[in-house]
Amino acid sequence: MDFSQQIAQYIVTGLTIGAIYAIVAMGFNIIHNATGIVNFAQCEFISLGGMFMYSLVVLFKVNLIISFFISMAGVALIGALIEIGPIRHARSKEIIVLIFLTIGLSEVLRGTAQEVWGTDNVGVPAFSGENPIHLLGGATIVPQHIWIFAITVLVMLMLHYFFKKTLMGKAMRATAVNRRAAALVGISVNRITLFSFAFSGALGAVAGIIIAPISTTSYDTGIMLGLKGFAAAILGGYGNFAGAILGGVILGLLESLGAGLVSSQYKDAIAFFILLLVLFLKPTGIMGYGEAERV
Amino acid sequence: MKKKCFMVVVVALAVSFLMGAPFCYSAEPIKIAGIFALTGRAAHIGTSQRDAVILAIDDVNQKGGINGRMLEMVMGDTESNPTKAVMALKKVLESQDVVAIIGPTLTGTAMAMRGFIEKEKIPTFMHSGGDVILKAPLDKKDPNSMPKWTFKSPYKAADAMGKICQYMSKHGIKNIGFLYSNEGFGKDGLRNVMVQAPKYGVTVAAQEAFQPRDIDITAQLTRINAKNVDGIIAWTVGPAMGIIAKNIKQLGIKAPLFECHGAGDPIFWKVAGEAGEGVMMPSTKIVVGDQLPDTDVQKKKIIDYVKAYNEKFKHEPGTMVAYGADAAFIVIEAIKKAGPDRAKIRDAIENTKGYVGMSGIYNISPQDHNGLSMKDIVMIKATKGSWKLLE
Repeated sequence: MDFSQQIAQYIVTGLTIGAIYAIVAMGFNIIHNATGIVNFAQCEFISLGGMFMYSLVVLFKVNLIISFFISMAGVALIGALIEIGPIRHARSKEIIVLIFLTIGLSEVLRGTAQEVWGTDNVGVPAFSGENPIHLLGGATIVPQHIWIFAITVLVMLMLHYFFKKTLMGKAMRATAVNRRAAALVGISVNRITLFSFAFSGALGAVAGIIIAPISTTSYDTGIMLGLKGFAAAILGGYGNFAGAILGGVILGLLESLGAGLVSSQYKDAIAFFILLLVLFLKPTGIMGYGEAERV
Repeated sequence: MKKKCFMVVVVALAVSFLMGAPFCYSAEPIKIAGIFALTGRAAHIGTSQRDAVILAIDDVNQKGGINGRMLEMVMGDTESNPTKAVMALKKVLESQDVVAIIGPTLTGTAMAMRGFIEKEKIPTFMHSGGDVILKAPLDKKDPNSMPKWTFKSPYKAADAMGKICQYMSKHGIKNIGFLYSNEGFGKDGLRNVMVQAPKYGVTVAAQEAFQPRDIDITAQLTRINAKNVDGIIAWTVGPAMGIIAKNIKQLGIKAPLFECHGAGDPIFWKVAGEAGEGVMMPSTKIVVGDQLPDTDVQKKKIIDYVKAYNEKFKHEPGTMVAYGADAAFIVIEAIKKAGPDRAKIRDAIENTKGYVGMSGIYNISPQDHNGLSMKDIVMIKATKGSWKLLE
């Protein structure tokens, strides 16, 4: 394996991992834009997506595609329930209180998942086999990497269409810019918030589902992915969708190239050092414009 | 009315005294504490070791207990966390009078509990892999302050590493890459491989770290592969065991993969799937009991125990169940010999000689609070969802 092949491998790996981070970052952004809070239960959406998929595919032998959509819908429902229940009925609507509420909720979800599925890591079959594919330039991937990439791109395109072209999407963007003004022109802010939680749930689930065949899944597998996705969102500019993609990809590439070319021991340290550096130079993140425009 | 009430109370007291008291007296159980990682990252190890100990205690109690007294385990959960481990231990000791302790599971939790145990003078048989719990002095300033009350049942990690290196050099593998999880257990492995590999003429050409929760380890493997190694050792327990095996298949690396002595567990197949085929590792004999030669003194004991384990818990035991079982049986033997007295139990454990257990033959002495040696370890190969004995 010569040097150019190695580089190709690092880049392909970085892009796949980055795609996952980007989807997770997207989930953080949607809720942030609708409510202004950071939803820490996002981590649990990822774990739950993976575990639902495992239960359906491995335990109940349900068809893969059907399982995919049921898992997605299931987690979206949990997201919606979180909003309808604790978030909407919280006595205080202070941002900081709601953020702490999501931390509590995430503990509840994780604890419940642990009781239901136990603590073991479990595997989920790959969507279409595990035979390696050789790419131009000498990198090797498995078919699941293509799925991850394709699904991420598809999700991004759909989100773009939704937010730019549909009425609901426009209403969500309006709420993001100014809640009060949005309410004044007749947008139901409650409904928008509900939607954003369901949406984030679905996105988290997708991330958990598509990565599960590669990384295996467990009741707490989302913690690490969630934190990395959160970092990607900040790197790109919190609340900014193009930023989420950019942040995810940059973080993924930094990790992979850092481990491959510099030192595997300081892989995460390198990635987070760059993150800090960016935030020093541009506190709003790469694509962020500050509070006035978050979309 | 008052008088009637009084009479009722007196009668009730008398009855309960006559019936209850002698019954209570004869059944007063001997208590031991079981401190395991029942939740957290090592939960799959901790829960199976708990099961192993339960099975050993059930066995004794079915045979009438120790001198007519039943054995009872009081359990505590370390949550795989050193601080929580000490809290769990203190909670158990405050509420119950125990004669001995079995566990904990992880080296980190064991190190946290050790000082307290030595101060309280309670004989403790640990399941943790790291050798440091026996080797490190209790007081950093006094190199002679070795643990007196602490024992451990798993064979030494250095011996496990030595076994792999020995196997490699026998099969012409001279140039290896070492991959380790970037935490206590992995770093302990790195120190060991640097000492053991040269002894057998094996060169560590590359050493790469990863985080225990990484979802992709291809970058590290690509780097190792660039060094043209003819063998790879991966030192970790948990999901990374499977991710590494999968990534190696993905990259088309031909060098055989060796994993650590904790990998021989049903969870390996859950995380590795088909990619686990052909991975080799050191292990206790418990996972390959039926493949042992009939001359092996451990064979009958292992087969009987595995059968009982299977019947009770409905799944195959992993390699680390052996450590739980051995710790429990040796402690029970010591209680039988010495009676329910902490100091006497400690002495009895320390004088355990030639005990045939699941993990090997224990020869415990004041110098060696483990008692196993390298010849107790076998090399196994992951084959079709199970294990094949290599040597």
